[in-house]
Amino acid sequence: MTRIPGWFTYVGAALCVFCILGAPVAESHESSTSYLKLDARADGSLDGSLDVGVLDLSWSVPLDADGDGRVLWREVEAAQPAIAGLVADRLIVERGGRHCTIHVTDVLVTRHVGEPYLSLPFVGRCEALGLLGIRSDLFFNEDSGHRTLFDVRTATGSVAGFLMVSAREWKQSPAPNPWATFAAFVVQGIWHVWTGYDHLAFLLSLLLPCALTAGRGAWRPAEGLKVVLRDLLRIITAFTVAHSITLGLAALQVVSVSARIIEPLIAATIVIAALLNLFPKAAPLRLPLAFSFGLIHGFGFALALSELAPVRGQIAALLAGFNIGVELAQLSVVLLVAPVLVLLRQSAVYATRLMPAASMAVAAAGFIWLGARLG
Amino acid sequence: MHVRRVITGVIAAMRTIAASTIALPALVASAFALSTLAVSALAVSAAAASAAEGAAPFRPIDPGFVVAELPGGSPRARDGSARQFELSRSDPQLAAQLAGTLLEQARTSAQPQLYGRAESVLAPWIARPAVPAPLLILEANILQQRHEFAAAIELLDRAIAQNPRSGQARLMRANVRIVTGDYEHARPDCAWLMGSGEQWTGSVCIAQVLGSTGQLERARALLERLMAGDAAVPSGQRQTGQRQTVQGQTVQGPTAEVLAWTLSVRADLALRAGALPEAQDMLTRAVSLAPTSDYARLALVDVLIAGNRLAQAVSVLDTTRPSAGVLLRRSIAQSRTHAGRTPDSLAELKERLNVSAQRGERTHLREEACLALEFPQDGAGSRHAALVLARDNFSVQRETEDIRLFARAAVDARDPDALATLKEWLRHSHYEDIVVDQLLRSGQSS
Repeated sequence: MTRIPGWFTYVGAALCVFCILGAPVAESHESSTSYLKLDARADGSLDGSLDVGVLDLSWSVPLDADGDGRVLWREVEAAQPAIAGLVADRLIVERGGRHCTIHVTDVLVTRHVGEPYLSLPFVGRCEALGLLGIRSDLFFNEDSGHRTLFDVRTATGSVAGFLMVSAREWKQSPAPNPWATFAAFVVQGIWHVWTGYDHLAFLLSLLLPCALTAGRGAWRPAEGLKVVLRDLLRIITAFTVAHSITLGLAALQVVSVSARIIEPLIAATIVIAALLNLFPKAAPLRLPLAFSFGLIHGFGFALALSELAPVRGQIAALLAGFNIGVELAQLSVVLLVAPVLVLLRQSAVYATRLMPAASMAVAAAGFIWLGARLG
Repeated sequence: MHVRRVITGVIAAMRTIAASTIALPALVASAFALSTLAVSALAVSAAAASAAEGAAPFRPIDPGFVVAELPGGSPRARDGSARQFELSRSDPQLAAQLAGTLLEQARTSAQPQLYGRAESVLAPWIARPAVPAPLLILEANILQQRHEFAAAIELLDRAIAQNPRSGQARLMRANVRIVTGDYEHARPDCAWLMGSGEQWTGSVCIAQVLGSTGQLERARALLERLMAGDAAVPSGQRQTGQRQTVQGQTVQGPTAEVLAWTLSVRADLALRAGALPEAQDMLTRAVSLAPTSDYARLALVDVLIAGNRLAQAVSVLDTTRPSAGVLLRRSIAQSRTHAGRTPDSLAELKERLNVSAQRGERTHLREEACLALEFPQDGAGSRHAALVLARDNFSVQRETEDIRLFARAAVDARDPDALATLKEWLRHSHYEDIVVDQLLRSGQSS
């Protein structure tokens, strides 16, 4: 190879061509990880577990006493005091500015990503109040690629994150103002409906026949404002109740559905709801359909919410805020459209031409979306 | 009123259909079927547990239960390494030697911790204002493996400024630039290697640049001549790694690993020209020459999968401590062998990608993008998600696979912006790949 300083030849040998092929080699580059779980309760008690890789630990604590290249369970049991000492030494949990006590109570065997790990359950005591903090010095000095993934639970919620060589500490931040978060999600809910053309289209197809009644196979203007408003209220309530149910279930992760299923289904609901407006005989179905299709649209809202709020901590407030935003936006659409419909209903053209034409336009749009989402 | 007549006509027609057929009941039935489908879809997947959960911890009953095999050898060797670790803080030569050994061990034994250990050895030195060039090169090697390409280039610039005759630094800098698609800046380093007696590595280097800048066939011919020249030396006289005189020129005979690398590059060029059998043959030879390297292995498996030789692909993938790339291809091969069944490797791959994401790393964008495209029902969901991953990956690295993934995702999602970005890049760089061209054409015709 090229002329190189004498002591560099060794490095030259180690730097084979395949090492310097860049990205492909990164395939196998997954550094060591430990996993810390912590539950700090309001009464000051603390418990959790620290899972450490057997290979990582073997550099800091002699685990292979007989030197046969294998770590046996009896060797681990014998090393338990040393392991507990290492953790007590290098892992610091504090609350309200004071160190918590930590006692490793056991050593168990587990696996992460196919690698052997020891799981070290621990208990401890902290100040009952104050912000929590973690600091770890485990393995960072010896292995700069090491990360400690943590999952901390407190009475106010849970936080996940990681510690690394250049950031070995984590401190709980003061809780954000819940009202500000709530308000932000109300705005997000409103925004989602106003900018989500598919929900607007579905709402429109529900609203279009609201100022009409079906009789003898044809649409005719509804008798009086009271009838119109009652019909409107029932339809909108059915839709709202239904989508609140599924939005809640999905947001609380009781159930989960894929966007691949829900998005085409939402387009299909638009096509069907709009086409049904062409058949006055189908009028009695509008209420059950508003409800059943509302269930589908709720999942659509949940998908939007899941993009906004991947953290589960404040989910109830977020869910309520988002849903209220959705309802407000829906109400604004009703308030905009309903007066127009009430005024138009007396015109003969509305029931016979305008409403069916608008419904068909909505159905056509829904059909195009359906094609795009299935294609 | 013409429009009115048309609307009236259409409405009348719809009513006729409704009256004469079962359109209305069918509509209602399908409406209810849809909502039932949605509700039953709920049952499909309950909330998934966090990937960091791991297996349930247990206490072995047998004291002789083997908790782990230590690949690092005896504890005495480890103790020795710990002492060296301390000594390396004051001795740059020892630091370079130790880090080099750790990197080599990490590479051949698939022990990722050793990369971190090597970096720990280098850390106190890298923090200093004047760093010896060999240490800069070692650190750059670690950085580029973490896909921190810009930072790696910066260290290599410093190493080359210190020692302009460092072939390692030049080759590494050229390769990092080729991987990121910066072909024009790679060219001078390749030329330097050729001019400084490193004719073999220089030729492979420049062939990669030519092959990506509109001269694919010339690059293929260059490497064919290079290897033909090597083969021209009777095998009895030829020893790998030795200097030979071929046609009046002194040529460094390639080591097995350099030969494997050359074959991999040739195979890549052949694949982009559409010569699959030729590529397969070259990659098979490359794998046998460098069995510990994932690079040629994964490329070979891709060719086998493309040719639907799934059983053969699975057998090539049979390695211990599989990488994410191996797990991904196993999943693809398994899912194509047993359609409809979720491959076993998929869960392990997802767990690994999940942990990597939780570690705050973005080194698996390529695998994530491929996963989202290959297993849309299991991945992040939409085509848009696959495109975002493929585009992010393309912004970091631009090897054949990355460019193909981006093209596939852009065509799949029919995203005009992404397609325009890709076409503009192809036009500007004169990059050639028959598969990318086919993808883009299929995107235009659909």
